Amino acid sequence: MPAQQFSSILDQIQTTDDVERVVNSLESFLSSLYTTNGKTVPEKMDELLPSHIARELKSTMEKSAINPQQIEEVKAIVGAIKAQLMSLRTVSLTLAFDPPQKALDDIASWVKQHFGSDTVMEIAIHPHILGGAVVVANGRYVDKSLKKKLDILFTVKRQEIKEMISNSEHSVSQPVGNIR
Amino acid sequence: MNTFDHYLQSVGEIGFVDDATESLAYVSGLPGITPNELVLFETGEFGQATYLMEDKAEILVFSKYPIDVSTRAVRTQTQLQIPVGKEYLGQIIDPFGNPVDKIRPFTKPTETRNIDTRAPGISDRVKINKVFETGVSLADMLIPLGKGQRELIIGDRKTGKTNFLLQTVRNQAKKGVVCIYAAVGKKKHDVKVAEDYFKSNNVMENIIIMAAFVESPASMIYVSPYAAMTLAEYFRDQGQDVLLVLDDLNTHAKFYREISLLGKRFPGRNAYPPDIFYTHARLLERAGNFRIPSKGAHVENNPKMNENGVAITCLPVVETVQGDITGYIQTNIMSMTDGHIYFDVDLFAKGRRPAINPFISVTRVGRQTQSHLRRTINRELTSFMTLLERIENFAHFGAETSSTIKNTLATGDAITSFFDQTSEVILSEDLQTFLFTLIWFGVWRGKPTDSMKADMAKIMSYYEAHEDYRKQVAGMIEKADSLNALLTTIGQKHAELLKTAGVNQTPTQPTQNPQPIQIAKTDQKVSKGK
Repeated sequence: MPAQQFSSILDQIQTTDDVERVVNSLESFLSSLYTTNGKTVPEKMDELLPSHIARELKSTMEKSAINPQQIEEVKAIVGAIKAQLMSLRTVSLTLAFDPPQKALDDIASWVKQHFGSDTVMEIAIHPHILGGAVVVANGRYVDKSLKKKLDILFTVKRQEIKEMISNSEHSVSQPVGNIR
Repeated sequence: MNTFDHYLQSVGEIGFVDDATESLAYVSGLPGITPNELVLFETGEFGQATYLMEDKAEILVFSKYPIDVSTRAVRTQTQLQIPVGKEYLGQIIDPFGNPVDKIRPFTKPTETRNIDTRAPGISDRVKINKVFETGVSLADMLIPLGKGQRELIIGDRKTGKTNFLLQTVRNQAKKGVVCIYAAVGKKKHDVKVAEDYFKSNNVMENIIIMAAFVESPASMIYVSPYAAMTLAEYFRDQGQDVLLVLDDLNTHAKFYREISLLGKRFPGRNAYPPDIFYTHARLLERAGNFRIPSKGAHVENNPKMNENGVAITCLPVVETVQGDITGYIQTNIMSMTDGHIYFDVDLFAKGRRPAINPFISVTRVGRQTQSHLRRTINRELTSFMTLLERIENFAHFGAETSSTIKNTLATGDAITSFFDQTSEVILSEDLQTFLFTLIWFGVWRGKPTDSMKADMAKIMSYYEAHEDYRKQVAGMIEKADSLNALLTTIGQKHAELLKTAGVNQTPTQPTQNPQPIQIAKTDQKVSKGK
């Protein structure tokens, strides 16, 4: 099955957690194909797979004229999707805070735009970076965190900052009578 | 080396350990990694990239324990280097320049050099023209060596190879040569014995012991000879002759085999990797006699240095099993060295010390460094020893022997007794020539060898203690342009010289014409020269 036929499914996957969740659900679905509990294959899809994945899978099977009762064909297409998911490349992002869904969507589209549609994000939350992000992709490491910028700033402007601090200490220590 | 974070920020590449075994780690990522580049892990260990695959790199890790999977790694953009400097003299260090013990005060040198470098070409080399004295009379007289020569020391275990090497190192260190003893995969006790020997003879200040113990990681044992050679090259570039002992290359080959098999290299003969020859050849080719760079104060002070060259003399050691010198590693090293000194287990069993077999031993370039006199002595002695061996085989049958053969056997006993030398005794070239000429002249003819040994001991101790005696002997040898001339001089002066040294001798009647024994052809009887 050509990869572009799964693009509607892959576009829904943003993070490695999503990949893991979908892969686990696909495995549950595959193992349920051989159990007889009175449910049809589409019903099992609705029960065991995430709703958007089930919807996209049914649509893909219709376009490919695959009979849902043919277990081997269903197994083949699900296996191909699973293989595609396992081969996705990972871009590691370290953030200072847990992003809301809107921000996550924006970040995901940026990642897919710059690193390819076959990438997913692995997000780690480390408040110590204060802000920005640390990106690791294809063996490259880019630190665009706020902490790094502040470290550089403090290193370059060390002397000025020291003078600023000592001046402010001096002005605080002036007698009260002088302040009007 | 800088910190992990420093390299992460400056290089901007990161890798993750996917798989690890002892000595090896497989790292994905690091897209710009180059062969032999140094890689630093976040746990502080480091390694060298040995094999680059499409999606990962094989790293030779210098750590005793495997690296954990998912450990991060960074490139350092440098090759494996060690610090080099005079600060190491008198120290025992590991292959990365760290002192093994913390007892001696130590300042780490600031200069570093790559461990793996290319051997100099022909235009950078000078003909070997300086004598290399081991201090062992059997080796110096029958298997002479030159400075810059690579001479293999080969023999079974426990045949006296290390004792010979320690004597040689001690002799060279006393002459001011920088000596580096590389213990490759040795026990700590063996290294301690070597250290104690050097200390007790007050030569440790010119010696560096580089030790990769048997319990060290295989990777560290693998790089130790290269690190020792790098240190030798540093001193060579300072204008100092260096002696480098690699003890031993069998162990080095075994550990390299282990690493290669773990790295799934296709095994060759005896399961060694196909590049085992190259592994040793690229090491030994870095030794020799070199033309040093024209700039530098040491050259300006000694303009002849570029004419005579500065030498790294290398004595690699290889063990045999039951005297078999046809093994794979043994023949490899024999083909890439300038000769070999063979320690015979049968001679060792007979009590000969050192147990060197001069008939199987070879020196390819040592003779060109000898004076005319020494070359003549070498030729005479070699012919005599060959004849002696044949006569001894013949005499075993118990047949009646003529007086000539008896004399030859007696002289042979004297020569053999002269060559028996304990590890505490070191003889200079002049002293060897002097004592040999006394024997050849017949000073101790008809006397038991014990008496001869006692007299020799007196001469040796007097010689060591009195500079004027040494000068007298040296002058006598220098004036002699042939062995016959020297024998004539000995004939005139031997009584006075022996008396000065405290040896009581009845005056020896010299032979009518003090000619050396003429060696007849195999099927002819031996007769004295007329």
